[in-house]
Amino acid sequence: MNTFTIIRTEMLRQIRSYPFMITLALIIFMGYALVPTSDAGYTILHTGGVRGIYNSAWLSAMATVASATLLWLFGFYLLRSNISTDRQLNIGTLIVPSPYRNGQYLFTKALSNWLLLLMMHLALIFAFMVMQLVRRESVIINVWDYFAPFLFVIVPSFAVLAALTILFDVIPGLKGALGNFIYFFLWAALGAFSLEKYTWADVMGVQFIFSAIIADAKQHVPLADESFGFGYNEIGKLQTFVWDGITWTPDIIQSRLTWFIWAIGLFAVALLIFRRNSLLNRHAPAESKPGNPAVKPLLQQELTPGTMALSPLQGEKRYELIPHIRVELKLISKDFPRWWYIVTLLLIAGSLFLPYNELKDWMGLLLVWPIALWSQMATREKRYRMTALVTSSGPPLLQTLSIWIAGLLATFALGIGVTLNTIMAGDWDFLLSWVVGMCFVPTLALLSGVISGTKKVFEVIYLLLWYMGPMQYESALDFYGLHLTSKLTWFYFLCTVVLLATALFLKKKQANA
Amino acid sequence: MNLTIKDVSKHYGKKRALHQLNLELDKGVWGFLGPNGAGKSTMMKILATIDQPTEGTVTWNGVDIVKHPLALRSELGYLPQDFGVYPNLNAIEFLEYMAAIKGLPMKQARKRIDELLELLNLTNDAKRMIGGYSGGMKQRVGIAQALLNDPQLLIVDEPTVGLDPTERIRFRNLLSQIGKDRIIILSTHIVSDVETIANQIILIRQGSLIANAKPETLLEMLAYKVWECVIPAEELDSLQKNFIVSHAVHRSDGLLVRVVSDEPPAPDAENVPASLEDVYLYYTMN
Repeated sequence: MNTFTIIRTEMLRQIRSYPFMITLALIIFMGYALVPTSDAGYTILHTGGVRGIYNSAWLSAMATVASATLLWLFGFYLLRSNISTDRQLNIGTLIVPSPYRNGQYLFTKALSNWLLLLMMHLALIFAFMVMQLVRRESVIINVWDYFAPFLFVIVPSFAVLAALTILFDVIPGLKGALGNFIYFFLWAALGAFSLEKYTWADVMGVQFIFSAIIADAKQHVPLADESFGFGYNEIGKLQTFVWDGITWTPDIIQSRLTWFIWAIGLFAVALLIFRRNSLLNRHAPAESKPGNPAVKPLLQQELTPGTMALSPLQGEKRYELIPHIRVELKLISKDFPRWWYIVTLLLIAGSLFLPYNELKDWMGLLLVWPIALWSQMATREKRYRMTALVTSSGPPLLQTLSIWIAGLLATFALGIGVTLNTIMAGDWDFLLSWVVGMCFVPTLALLSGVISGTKKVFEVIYLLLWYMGPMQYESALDFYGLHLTSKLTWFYFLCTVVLLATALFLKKKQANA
Repeated sequence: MNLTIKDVSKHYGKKRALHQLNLELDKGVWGFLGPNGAGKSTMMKILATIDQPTEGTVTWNGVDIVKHPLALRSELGYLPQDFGVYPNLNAIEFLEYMAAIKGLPMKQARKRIDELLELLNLTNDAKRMIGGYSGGMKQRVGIAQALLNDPQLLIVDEPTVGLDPTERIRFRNLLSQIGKDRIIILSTHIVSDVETIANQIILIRQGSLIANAKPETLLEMLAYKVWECVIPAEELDSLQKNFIVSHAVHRSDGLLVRVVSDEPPAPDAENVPASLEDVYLYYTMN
């Protein structure tokens, strides 16, 4: 009964949060976008150049692959800080002295995350059912075809994912940007291994689903090839066939359910690592010290009305940008430990002294290393519950502008090695796109911070952009112009201006709300 | 029912927060008084099992709560000085969550939640999200969660912060009513919060115990040590350098000052009855 109440509460507060609602809305939109009409000219599920008609089995397979791929990424980031939130909101002070045991606490967190993930998948299934009726390639809704992959693929797969959300939230070094970064690679690696037909890595079930489709498709239609994938593919007219779904044998079911063992194992590791007192905001209390005898007692000052001054400093109050920028830079400098600076200096030195023709090949780490620096832009006030103090202390535009300029200066400082190396090589085209890229990233961070108030949103967006653009050579997302040499420079310059204007506008609106 | 604190010290690195505290607490309201940073909250955290002493032991009914915190937790109600709430839950949902965490049967808990919401004047706002509550209302939700499990040991750290005068009086009365058959530890630096309800007052300064007595005993100890006299306004500065001035009021003939001192501050100073505030100043400023 109590476990039910706790899980219900955990789920309620997630469901009522904006990020969850946005994710749910995106899922429902996905239901529409992933089921294009036959003449739409694109496909999402690529299986050897053919596709099944939109019947329950095919759409269920699509839902499973879509969920497995996307919820394994976005679902993780959405739910990964459930435990950290208890610490940040200072609810840990109430939980720690309660008789609630560590195992119960972690279990209810993992269970509620698992149920939320399943709920999101069910929303996608529902959207696909609607789309099946809209597209009318097959109007018979076969409930078992929808729910069998849910039960045997998604349920165990998301159990592992839920355990990972807990594990990454209890390992001290993985709670922040580093954890987000490592998970991103874990997700990419699992996806890649899965598509490369490594069964041992197929926790998402992608390879399992695709293999079943390809095997059946071969019986019905000639395949162009036996490749498969999930993503936007422009195509001409696709040959369709009727796919009746997976035949669920006990062996198949057993092989999928073994992922529960992984989930339990990961949970057990999390339980071993978890320390109850990590839920507390720890800081040594201040020791009382005798007052300064030079300070005139307030009691006496009160007795002579009109003469009391809190400070001998008198002067006209003026808001200036440079002092604001200075304090913002100081705050940024306090955010990182010494080892971070050492690595940063090594990266700057490396980017300065590398031969220019090898520079771009080695820039990946430098481009992602400052992610924690950017992601804190415009989120600090909310994180430390300073919003009321900061908003009431000065003009919001000046504050936001100073955060942006400080972020920009820090970015330019981090990029100084690349900048000088490029100047020495005389590659002016790349220099321009590099400078625009250095302006674009902190501006994107600023807007993400202003809108969400959390670091996570920028970290997820930037990791995706960085991975697909500079790392995977997706031309439209190459915002540093590493591979296209400035083709998109002016586009990203314009984006920077629009993002900055939007951030300033929204900040002003928030301050006036 | 007994809570024993034996030789408890707490250090944060080189910083000393508590030093060799010894106390034996039984049923009643115990007021922990001390200036900011005196070590009260550290003591409360140790008693609430969320911190551990560097030295010494704390036992609840004979069981060491540092080694066996669960022995106390099911009987503990704790209102921390600084706590958080889930902003997107309403008061009922939040209290149900806390009741579940405390292991209360839900049917019984729901009845108790209704009673507490009524008692703390939150019934009309019970279905609003806590994120929209004022500071005082959040504090009352905190008080409600501390009382949910009908605790044998109730620890309230600066409980009246943010409460308006009516709510403050209501809370004090509540503590007086429930304080007879349990141990209540009320930690504060607001003297008026403890003087009406505490059976026993513990004064702490810079991590050390400086007094542990009934309020009337403390007042007796200060008999003949509180003085009032009228002085010219310009003499206040020199008087404050030599004496503890607890109060000063403008009058047509000068300043009427109240002084806490072993010796009379002026030849014409009259001895007056001491208040607990005088006791507090005498022990914490001397």
